[in-house]
Amino acid sequence: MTKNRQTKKQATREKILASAFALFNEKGYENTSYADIAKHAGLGYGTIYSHFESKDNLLVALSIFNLDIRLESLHDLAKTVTNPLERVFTLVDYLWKYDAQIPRPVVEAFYAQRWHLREDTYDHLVHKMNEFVCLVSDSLREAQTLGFVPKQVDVPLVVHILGSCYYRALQDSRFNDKARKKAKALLDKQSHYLMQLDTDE
Amino acid sequence: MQKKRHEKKLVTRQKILDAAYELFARQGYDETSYTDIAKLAGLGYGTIYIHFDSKESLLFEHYLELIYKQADILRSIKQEGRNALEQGLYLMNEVWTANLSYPTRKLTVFFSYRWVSSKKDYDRAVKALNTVLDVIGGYFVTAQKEGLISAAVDIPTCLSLIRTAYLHALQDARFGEKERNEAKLKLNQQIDYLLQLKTS
Repeated sequence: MTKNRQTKKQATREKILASAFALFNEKGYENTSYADIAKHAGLGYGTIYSHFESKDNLLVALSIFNLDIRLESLHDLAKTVTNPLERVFTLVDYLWKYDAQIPRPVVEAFYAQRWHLREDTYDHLVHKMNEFVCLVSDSLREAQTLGFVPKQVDVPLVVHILGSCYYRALQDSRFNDKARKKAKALLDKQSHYLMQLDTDE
Repeated sequence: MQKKRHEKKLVTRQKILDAAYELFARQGYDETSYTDIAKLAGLGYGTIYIHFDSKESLLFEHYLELIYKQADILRSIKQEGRNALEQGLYLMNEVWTANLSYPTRKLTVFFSYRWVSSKKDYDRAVKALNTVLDVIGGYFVTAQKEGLISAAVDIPTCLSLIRTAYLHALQDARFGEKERNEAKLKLNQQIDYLLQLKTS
């Protein structure tokens, strides 16, 4: 009984997220109201409010929902690549391709809103993103143990810096294909530099 | 004729900006409306809208000006017994302090706007940020020539990485004293690492 209710609640939640995703994409984050989402999802305004107390929370929930899906596929992908260094680059490339699939207005709204989040929401998000960071860290540490990466490379610090570089690449790539390619090339260059790999492979 | 009209447009634009800056400072960014700005500038609401399609873009212009002023200030700071490396790191600190003394709300609006701005505005912001970075980078280049930074360090790449790390630190630092200290500590750690400075 309780389980049934739980499943139903989860289904409603996902319905709201799907509608929000569609509308943020179509009309932009700022121009989408709770009333719009309610109408699109075929639910009452109050129902949405009881699931998400603010639009910011909704946007973050949406991102975390997307992150969770990604995380699952990343774990699967990680298992298929035996060389740990190759795995690092495969994971980053996958993330990059995945982010390109998310409609740009949603990505932009999300990162723009990140600057406005309350501390608890921001921390929650950082915590979630750290799961990706761990995945990359683990592979890089393994690569270091096997001698693919010089010993003096400070893995946690390098992965942290790479995380910042990744956001920046996303930001630089907003405008067109050319900007996108340029941003990815820079990110790759930075990755090689930080991991102290020879760039002329 | 054409030129005259263009000049007039620039005068109007500046009038709007002056009014907006004054009101942002006096009554706060959130509390300032287009109507307030129109009233103080002695212009119509519509005129303002033609020049600036959002309040964020007004604040953006303001912040850009501040960044350029900051670069001028940095250039004027004398070395006073510091070597080139110390001076570069000292200026890095100055920028951080200046940034954090700027109201968090405004800072947030500026950096948030960067995610939604036009390409033109985005490029202008990058250019402005790089102006500040160039001043600091100049000292690092000198420091490398003087052997204070290892020859293995690629200064341009490092500067770009420092800029990225810096903006991340600003985002982390927003919430209070404790977060500021933590963010700064982490940033310094990254800078030391990137410049390959030996610190325990």
